[in-house]
Amino acid sequence: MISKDDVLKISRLARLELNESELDKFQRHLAGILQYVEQLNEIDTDEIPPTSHAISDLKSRYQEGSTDSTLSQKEVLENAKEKSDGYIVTKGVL
Amino acid sequence: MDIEEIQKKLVSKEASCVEITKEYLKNITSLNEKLNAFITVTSEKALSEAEKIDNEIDESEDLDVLFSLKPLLGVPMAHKDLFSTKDIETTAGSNILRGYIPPYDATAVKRIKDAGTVMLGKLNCDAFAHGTTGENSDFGPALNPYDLSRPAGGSSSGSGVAVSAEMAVFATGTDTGGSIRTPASFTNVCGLKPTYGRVSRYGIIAMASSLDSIGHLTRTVKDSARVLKVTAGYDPFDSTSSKIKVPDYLESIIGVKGLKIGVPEEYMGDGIDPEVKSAVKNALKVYEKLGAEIASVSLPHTKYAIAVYYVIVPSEVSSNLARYDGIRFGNSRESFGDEAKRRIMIGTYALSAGYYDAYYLKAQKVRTLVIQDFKKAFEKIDILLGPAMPVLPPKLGENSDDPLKNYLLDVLTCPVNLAGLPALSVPAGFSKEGLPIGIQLIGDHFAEDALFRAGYTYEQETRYYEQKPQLPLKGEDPDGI
Repeated sequence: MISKDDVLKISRLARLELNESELDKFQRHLAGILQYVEQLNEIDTDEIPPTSHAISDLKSRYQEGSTDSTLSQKEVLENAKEKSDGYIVTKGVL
Repeated sequence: MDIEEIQKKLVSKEASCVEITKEYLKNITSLNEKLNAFITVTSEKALSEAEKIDNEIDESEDLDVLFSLKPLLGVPMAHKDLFSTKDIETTAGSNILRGYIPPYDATAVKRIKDAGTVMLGKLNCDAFAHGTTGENSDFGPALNPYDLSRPAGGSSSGSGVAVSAEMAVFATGTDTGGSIRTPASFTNVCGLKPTYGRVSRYGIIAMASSLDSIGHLTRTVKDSARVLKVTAGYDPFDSTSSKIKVPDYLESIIGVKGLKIGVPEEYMGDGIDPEVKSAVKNALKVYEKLGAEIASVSLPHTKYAIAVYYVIVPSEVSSNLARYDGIRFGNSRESFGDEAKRRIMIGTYALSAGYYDAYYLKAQKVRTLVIQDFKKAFEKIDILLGPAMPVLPPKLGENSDDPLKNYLLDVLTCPVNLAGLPALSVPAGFSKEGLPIGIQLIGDHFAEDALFRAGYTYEQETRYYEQKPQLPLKGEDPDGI
């Protein structure tokens, strides 16, 4: 069963800050959901290939590199709240 | 009104596009406070677009040519707030994207605009489309116009309400595990989840990229076909969009004689509400009368679909929501709601070293088995028919303490997404209490034409879509709120 320490570790990996009561709540929820998922182990899948995509004829495609259909820097920045010298201004992150 | 009625009025000059648009804006003004369907209403933009359309019609020398170039000309509609709209706030129903204004249109938005529509605004939904009832919206739930003590169904909650209560002729939606079919069946409208890759995902805020399907909610099946004809087709901006030709769906939209309909026995089991079951049985009788052949089929891995779904979805969600770092756009990660946090954490866990094989890989393998079930069934039958939802619309807050209980409501819808199949939810009557019930038609890949044919023929025979919500709405405070 997933422990509170596990939940704390995951939340840090996912950059989510949880307080003590949230930790309790999510530990309970996650344990319930993961326990439900365990039923997949009833099925023998040794010989079954995994599916990442349901439509078999969809393949990765390459296309001509061209820039005519790309947004310009001006368009990209138009709706940004704060900008400076062609950059978006944000709070310090490091 | 449906698309045909509106366009007839425009052609005969019985009404102008401005007049029609005003009528819908009036409905929004009088109903939105009660129903909470719209997050943003773009009245001014809508009226100026409508004016342009009126001029275009006035100046046109050949209206047939004009309407064939712009097949949705003059039709007021609205987008789920998951669709990027240039210069119009797009929140995904979340606090984290409050205030975000995209610099471009999603491909589906652009195609719908180019087809001549008038956009009325952006519609409420579960935040990032995570939810089955609409109650996970950071803007509060959209309420069910057939009973205000119940949610509209999600995640495309506002889309169902807007069409049902005539605040828009049609509305876009997304369906990752039932998010179009659920609100459609809870609000007595028609909901199409197209084949995966039929409609471009470009510009639509992603939930689970291997499952997300872009569709719409309409009052009638014909309208659904008309809208798909516009939105479907290859888009160089989405590498998973299909190059398969888009047929003319209206060409042969009627008749089910000889159609082989399979009823999955797992979709009619113990967990299904008896009133829902009886609506499905009535629908089968109608089909039989119209000349279809009914057979029972089995999709034995149905009971594992939710377990598969709730590993694959959170895994893809944790990756897709990693981009919301509070730097380039959006607010900080603290503003994620509980459901997004839950999914991000389950996904992070399922994808982490040491657990990947046990969860993600295992789920992908069982996904293969779910798909094989469907493919085997389609060897013998043309379409599948079952309930869209196992239950009637629940009460607000009914499952709020137990997320797993809400997840289980996706039992009949999410297998379709795992297999990438198209499905159409069509109104199939009402419960004793007057709550809408929908049936779901499921087709093989790219067989939307078969679904429209079966859906339209049934709809014309039964006409449940004509029973609109009555004013004052059930549960409404007569003195006004």
